[in-house]
Formats: sequence, structure tokens, C-alpha cells
Amino acid sequence: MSDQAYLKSYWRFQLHRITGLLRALMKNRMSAIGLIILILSGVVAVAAPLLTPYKDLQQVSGPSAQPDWVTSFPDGYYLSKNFVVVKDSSFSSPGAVQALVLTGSQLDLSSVAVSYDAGRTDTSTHGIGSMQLSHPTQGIATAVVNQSFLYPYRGPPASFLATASILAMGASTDHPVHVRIFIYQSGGLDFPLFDENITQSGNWTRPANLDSILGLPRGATSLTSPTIIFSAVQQYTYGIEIRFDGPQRVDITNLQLTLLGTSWGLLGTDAAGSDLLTRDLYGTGPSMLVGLTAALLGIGVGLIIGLLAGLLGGLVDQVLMRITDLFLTIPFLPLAIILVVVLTASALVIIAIIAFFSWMGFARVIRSQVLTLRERPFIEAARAAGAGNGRILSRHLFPNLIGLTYVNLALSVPGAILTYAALAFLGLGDPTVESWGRILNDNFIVTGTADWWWVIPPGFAIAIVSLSFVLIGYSLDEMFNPKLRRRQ
Amino acid sequence: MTLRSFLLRRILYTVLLIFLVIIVNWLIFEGIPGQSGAAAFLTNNPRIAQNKQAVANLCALWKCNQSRTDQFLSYLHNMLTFQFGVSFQNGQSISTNIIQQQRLTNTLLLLGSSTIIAIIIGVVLGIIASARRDSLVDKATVSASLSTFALPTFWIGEVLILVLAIGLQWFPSGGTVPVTFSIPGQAPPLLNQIIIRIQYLFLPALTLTLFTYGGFVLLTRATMLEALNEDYIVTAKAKGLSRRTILFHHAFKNASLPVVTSSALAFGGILAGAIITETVFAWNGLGFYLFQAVQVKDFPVMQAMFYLISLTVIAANFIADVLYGIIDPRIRYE
Repeated sequence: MSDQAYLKSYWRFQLHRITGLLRALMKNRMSAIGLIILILSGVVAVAAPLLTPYKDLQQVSGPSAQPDWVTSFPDGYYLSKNFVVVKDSSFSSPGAVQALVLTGSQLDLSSVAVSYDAGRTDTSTHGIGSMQLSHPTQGIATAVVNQSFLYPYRGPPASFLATASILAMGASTDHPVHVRIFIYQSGGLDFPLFDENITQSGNWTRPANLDSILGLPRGATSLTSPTIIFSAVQQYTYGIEIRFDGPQRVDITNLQLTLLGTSWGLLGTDAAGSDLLTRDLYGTGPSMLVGLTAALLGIGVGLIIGLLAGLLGGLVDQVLMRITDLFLTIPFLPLAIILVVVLTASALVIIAIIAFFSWMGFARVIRSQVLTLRERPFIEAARAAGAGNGRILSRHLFPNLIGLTYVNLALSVPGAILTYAALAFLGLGDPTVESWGRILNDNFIVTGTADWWWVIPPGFAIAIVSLSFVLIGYSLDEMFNPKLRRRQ
Repeated sequence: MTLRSFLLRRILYTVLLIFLVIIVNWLIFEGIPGQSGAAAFLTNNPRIAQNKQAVANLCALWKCNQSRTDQFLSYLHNMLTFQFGVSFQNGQSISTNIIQQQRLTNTLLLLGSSTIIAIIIGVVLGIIASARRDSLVDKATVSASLSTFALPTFWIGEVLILVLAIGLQWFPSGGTVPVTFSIPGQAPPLLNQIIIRIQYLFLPALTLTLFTYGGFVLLTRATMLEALNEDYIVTAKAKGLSRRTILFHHAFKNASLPVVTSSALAFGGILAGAIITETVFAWNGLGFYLFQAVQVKDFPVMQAMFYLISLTVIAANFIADVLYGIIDPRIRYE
């Protein structure tokens, strides 16, 4: 047979073997469940970016928002959702200007002209056009651009953020344009967010961090600005007041008031306001990958050490087995914790640490198996036929160890997944990699386990994925290990 | 080989192991060439590093200017006398902290109670499952035990807190004892104290038991099934002995040996579970102390905790070996 034909038949045989294994696994109910869970979680791991419209760790709502469906229970009456006040904040069409209301005294308004300016905009934001207020005459005039809205929720938002970009042409130190941004609660309460003079002409002014009442020191009262302002279901006005002094022109764009709600999506948000469902989905891949790689490495090391000890025997065997005993005695988790702290908490280091301490059991199994196989007649026959150590190892010993390797690999993955999850839960996971353990750690640090929609899904996912490996491992064990079959 | 020389060898091996742990423990923290762990801690801590006087004082306290040999010798002395040196975090003696806060006792209380309960549950369920092989009971028991290998310990604890502490409010959600216990004159009578302590112990112990029992079930079931396949069981059946006598007197007597020894060997794994359980429940033991030390990179405390935890595991292994030698009549002490 030519080499190529041999290779082809070899690969066909291997493929046949794998499909045969899968078919056998699907026959057993336990392993079929395990296999299905495994395939599904693999799909989720790969397709996570397609399954959710948000990016991992992207802020979508207020911090620690409860799930949306809580609002339909009596306890959730005070929850609010995300709310946007200005519809077209980038001023993409003249309609954006028409939607706003201009107020002021009769006299003042007669001297102010309003128009839509398509070209002039603040390019550092999403602006397309702007609203233009011209005041061609001398003297002082005040105009207010308003957007009224009904705040529909019984509870306050988690936070709010007001934005505006203002360009004042013709402003100077002597003749400044005065700008005041405010939220007005109908009934007479006016909350200023920004109150300053613009003295420079031709530069866009973008007041930053307009998220609290002006002059209210942070943390001064237990009531936060959102709670004080949005205290009832009623009409509010978000406005920007411009006071002209002389012939001046003001462009306004990027005008928006965003309220971040206290409820969000299916599973709420974490302490940074990012969608928890998205995080759970994105955590699938790394959580599984770290466990799988660590287990693979550990099994590889175990295989090599077991084979060496079993085949070479004598002093090598003695030394290797004493080392194995030693590794078995040292308590792994505390050592892993210490090593991660002293070294760095990177995924690769953690994989190496887990692998470094998970080969011992398998090495022992392989060694004992090699010891019994070594004495079997077929090895003796191969040796008599002149086969060298290498050929006996690859052609006669190794095929007899494949089953054991599969079993132990499947059974050591859950341990590795759980160890990584435990390390991440203790805050020792890779800070740059999303994982279920990390989601649980975030929760543990912030609330100490109160929000069950935050706690249950990642832990359940860890359990389910680990369980699938356990189920497959035990079915493989039954398949390969005739001792476990029932006495007929 | 006699029992005596067997014991002697085991003791020698154990002592060797302890020294190895001591050396590894030192190398991990101080093995980085150039700086000692204490000096690194001082320079990496900007608040302290600014104050030259404080650096000098703390350096004297943590001996960071001594030669490597002197540092190692004082470390060795600290470990062998169980003094453990001084914490980075608050400058207190670690051994005093452990004793004052009863950390070792707390850990042993949690470990002991949950391990004993887990063994009892595991053995009973294992025998029942093996006696009714392939029945619904057997399948349910095996699946329940297998699933413990897949459940994250910390998550079991969190779910228990959610349901039993926060939801139903039957148990406190964390802590070891209420604060009032330490106030003179405020402590309740002894009987109440015991009840309250058990209330605090219940959830952590339950978590650790749920983490541990599955292994014992599967082990007992496997050894029982092997024993039940032996010829002497057929003989016993043929003699007309009752099922109970066969199960407990014939089969379990022979199957109990691996269970006894593996309980001690499983100690390392249970300890790992205990570290996490203590963290979840803020149970004031060695594991929680280790977790607290990790948060602030308090190297001496981490060193001491690793040493103490290793000692516990080594001691458990030693006991397992000796037990095995004494119980099993077949062993030849080789």
C-alpha cells in the first residue's frame, strides 16, 4: 500500500472511530444529555457576540438594575426604565428644532431668530446639524429652549446625565453669553445643572458630568440628585437658557437628557450597569476554555510521567512516584491562591498552575496500567518479533491506554473548571478575561449575594457544563472498563 | 517489617514533608532574587514609601535589611515555634491573632462537623444504593452524588444564603458568633450560646457537607458492589442469612476499609472546600484569614496560613497511613 493510501485509510479509520464513539455516547441516556449540553454551550461560547446586541461590560442601564419583569410584581412598583428626553439629539433634520419650544419674554423673543443649521455641528459628538439662535441687535435678551416630558415612573431613575454642546459666536469677556441648563419640575421647582458665562467666541463648549444638582455636594445628603428631582409622576421640562449680550449667535446641538433606569432586561445589570445576560453569555467561552486547556495539559503531563514510571521502572519509577505522592499531599487550592498572588493573575499562569497540580491521579492510573500491560503476552510477542521500545509504546501500549485517557480527561475537566471559577470568585481570576467566576465575584464584593438573578445563572452554568463532562466521563468509563459492567 | 519500623519510617517521611513545605513556602514568597517580600511590599505601597521613618521602622519589624540567611533562620524559627511573625496589614503578631480569634478552632469545628456528617450520610446512602443496584433509588443517589462533583462550593453556599438566610430568614447569612458574645455581661446563658453557635454553624457546615458527601456515597457504593460480588456473599445467601446481616456484617465490614482511609485522604480536598465556604460565610477561620490576607497581599499571613493548612493535611495523611497499617490485617508494612 502506498503511503498516501495508507494515510487515507488511517484517517478514515480514525474518523470512523470518533463517529462510532459519539454514536455509542448518544445511546446512553446520561452521556447523551452530557453531549447535548456540551454542544449547546460550545455553540453559545462561539456565538456569544451574535446572541446579544451589547458588548461585554458595556454600560446599558443604571448600576445594579433589577430585571424588567420585577416591575410586574408588587415589589417592583418603584422601578424605572431607561428614558431619553430629546428624540433627535444629533439634530439630523429641521424637525429636531421644531420639536423644541422657545420661551421668553415677548420683547426678548422678537429680537431672537431661530433656524436650523445643517452644516455647523459639534463633530466630536454624534452631531449632524444644530439649532441656531441669532440675536443681531444690541442689548440683552433671554431665550429658553425647552423640551417638556412626562416622567412616567413611580420611582426615581438610578442616575441621569444631561449633555449639550454650545457654540457662541461674538461672545467676549465684556459681553459674555450666559448659559444655564436646568430641569424644571412643574409646580415651581427649578434644579440648575449648569450656570456659567461663555466668554470665548467660536469654540464648542461641552459641560461635562451634568449628573447632579448644581451646588449640591456629592454625598451631602442621603438623597441623591435623581431622587430629589424625579420624585413624582408628572411633567418636567429640560431646558437651556441663553442670555445674549449684544449681537451674538448661538448654536446648540447634542442636546440630551438621559435617565438610566433601575430595571433592565432579562437579568438586570451589574454594579457598573452592564447587562448581566450579556456577561453570562460572554463568560461561557473563557470559563470552558480555561478548564479544558488546563485539563488537557494536566492529562498530558500525567500520561508522560505514568508511562515513564511504568516503562522504565527501577529508580526512575521510585523517584517519580515519590514526587507524585508529594504533590498529592500538598493542599492544592491554598497553594494555587498563593501562587496566583505572587505570580500574576493571568489566564495562562492560572492554566499552568491548575495543570501543574492535576496530573498525579492520572499518572498513577497510567503507571499501574502499563505495569499490567507490560506482562501481557501480546507485548511479549511484539518484543520477541523485534519491536523496539518506541514501537511497543506507540503501537501496542498507547492504543490500550486511549480509553483511560478519554475517561480521565472528561473527569478532570470539571475539576479544572471549578478551580478556575473558585479562583475567580476569590478575586484571583484574570481581570482582562470575562468568566462566570468573575461575575460571581463582582456580585459577592458589591451586594454579598442578595440579587438572585445575578447569582443563580453563572453558577448554574458552571454546574451544568461541569456536569456534562462528569456524565460523559462516567459513561466512557463504563464503556471502556469491563469491570464496571454487571455480572451476567 | 514490624509495625514499629513502619511507624518510624512514616514519621520520618512526615517530618521530611513538613520541612519541604517550609522551604517551598519560603521560596514562593522570598525566592525572587534581589528583594525580600517585605521590602517589595514597602516600596510598592506609595503611602508608606513616602514616609522614610515609617519605612525604616517597618523594615526593622519585618527584618528586610537582614541577610538572606538570617531572614531564613528567623523564618524557620517562626514556623517551628508557631509564631509566624508579624502581619503586613496591621503589624500584629499572627499567632496572637489566630489564638485570639479562635481561627484554628473555628476551622476545625467546621471541618470536623461537616466531614463526620458527610461520612455518615455517604456510607448510609452508599449501602442503600448498592443493595438496590439499578433501582430508581440507586440511580437517584448516584446522580445526586455525581452532581456534587459539578457544583461550585461557593455557589452552593450563596444559594443556601439566598434561600435559607435571606428568603426564609431561618439562619444568619454569615459570621461566626454574634457581636454580643464578646461584650462582658451581654453574653446569653451557655445553653442559648450553644444554640446560637449551631445556628451560625449550620449553613457553612451544610455547604461543606453537600460538597463532600457525594464522594463518600460513590466510594461506599463501589466497594460494596465489589464485596457483594464475592463468593462469600453467595455462601451467606445460601445459608439463608437475612439481607441486613449480609449487607452490614459481611459486605460492609470488608468494604469499610477504603472508606476509613479515604476519609483521611480526602481531607486536603475538603480543606479546599472549607477555604471557599469560610469566605462565602465570613466564617472566621484559617481560610477566611487567607482570603483577607490575599486582598491586601499580606505575605506573612499567607505564608502562615499555607503552612498551617499544609500541616493539617500532612497530619491527616499520617493518621490515614497509620490507621491503614493498623486496621488492615493484610498489610505487610512494605
